[in-house]
Amino acid sequence: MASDKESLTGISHEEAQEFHRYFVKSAILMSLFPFLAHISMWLYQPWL
Amino acid sequence: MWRVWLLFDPRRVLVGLAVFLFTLAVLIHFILLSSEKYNWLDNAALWEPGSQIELLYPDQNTALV
Repeated sequence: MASDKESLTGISHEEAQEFHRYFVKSAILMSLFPFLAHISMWLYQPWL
Repeated sequence: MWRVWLLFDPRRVLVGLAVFLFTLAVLIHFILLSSEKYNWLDNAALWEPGSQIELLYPDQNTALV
């Protein structure tokens, strides 16, 4: 039975899309720090 | 992919993600601290490889307390 409510979380499609854009951008930006950390750790002491 | 936010409430996801990532970061830092190679506090690598460490074995009559 297709639920008549479009969203289970109460946010509209536009809001979901807008949030998603910010979420993806910040996820990529935040993953930059561990990426740089791993590179500097490898240069300092390779673990393999 | 954005439809996920129609299923999972963004606020709860953000809070859950923050708690999870923080815990994971603390865990990894402590794992590294527990290793000798990556302990950056009492860093074994700083002691000169050639340095002599004199081991003082307590002889019989010295009380430890």
